[in-house]
Amino acid sequence: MPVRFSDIDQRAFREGLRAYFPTLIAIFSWGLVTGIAMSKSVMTVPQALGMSLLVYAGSAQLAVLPFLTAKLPLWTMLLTATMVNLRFVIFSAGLAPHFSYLPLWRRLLIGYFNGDVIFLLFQKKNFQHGYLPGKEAYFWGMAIASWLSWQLSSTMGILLASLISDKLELGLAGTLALVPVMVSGIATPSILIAVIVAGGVALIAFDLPYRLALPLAVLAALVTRGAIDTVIERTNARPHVHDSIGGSR
Amino acid sequence: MTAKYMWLVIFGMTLVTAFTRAFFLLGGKHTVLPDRAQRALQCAPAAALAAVILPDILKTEQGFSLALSNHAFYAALAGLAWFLWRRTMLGTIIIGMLISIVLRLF
Repeated sequence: MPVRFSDIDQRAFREGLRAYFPTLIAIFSWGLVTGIAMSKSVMTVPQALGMSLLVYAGSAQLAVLPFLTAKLPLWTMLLTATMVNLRFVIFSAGLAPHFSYLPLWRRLLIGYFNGDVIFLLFQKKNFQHGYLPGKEAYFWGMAIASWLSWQLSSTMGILLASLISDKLELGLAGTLALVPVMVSGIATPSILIAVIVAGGVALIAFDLPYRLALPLAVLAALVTRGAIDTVIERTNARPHVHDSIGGSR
Repeated sequence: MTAKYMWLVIFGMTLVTAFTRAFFLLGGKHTVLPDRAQRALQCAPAAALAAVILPDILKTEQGFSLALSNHAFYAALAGLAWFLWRRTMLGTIIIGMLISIVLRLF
């Protein structure tokens, strides 16, 4: 059954692909690093490929590897994966007003194929809520670019791991690739403050079990951002008492 | 660890990923947060990345360290400086890796 996409959807899809393109190096190095790490763990090649294809969550996969080596129980691994993935719960709240009109299976797919970079770029577009022609296609342009580059690089990492020396600090390359992505997400001074708070909390809470530090850090950033907004609103509200209430900017 | 157990881990993690990533999308119109909360969410991706990057570049075998022997931290600082100046991702990685290699030589 051939599916016809409108011109708007096709153009938006290509625009999504192009928007994602500059970050390909970041996702590629992370995929490579994750693939190599999986391959050098206790996993067999088919298992590592299966994990990459099915789980499709690099940071959660990396977090669980030491648990596999230490033969810890299943629930500790699932709890850790949940903690590392909790930030996606917050991202899903950001996507919800844009796609709430879609059937359940499409919303589930959009959620599953979302990622840090995709969500960051999607938010920067400042789409209006609700149905908008081409918006879903734009998301899928980014999501498919992300999925393909991740699977390709991760598979390469898994298969080529034995050829790559441990001396090459590929892990550092992966982390370096995330720096520009993070910086481009800092659009306003209030976001910068929230991000600094998140970094601080991540360091202070680093020793907590099950990677609890990560969701705590994101939560702290949200609270900080909310507090800054409240302070700004209060200071702005005083001279403009007659302004309409409920206007959102 | 048996093969069966490993696949259990993989399928379990797949479910966890799908469920957390789709969480607020699952409820459709019932789980749309108010505008205020939506605005606060803008900082979430950058905050999450900071929470991943910072411990990663500061941790050494002796705990968090700002000493010059922690190459990763100074490599990342150099990469950050490059990105703020030139705005290219590839340059950020190359400069960072170069600094890391140079520091290791000393």
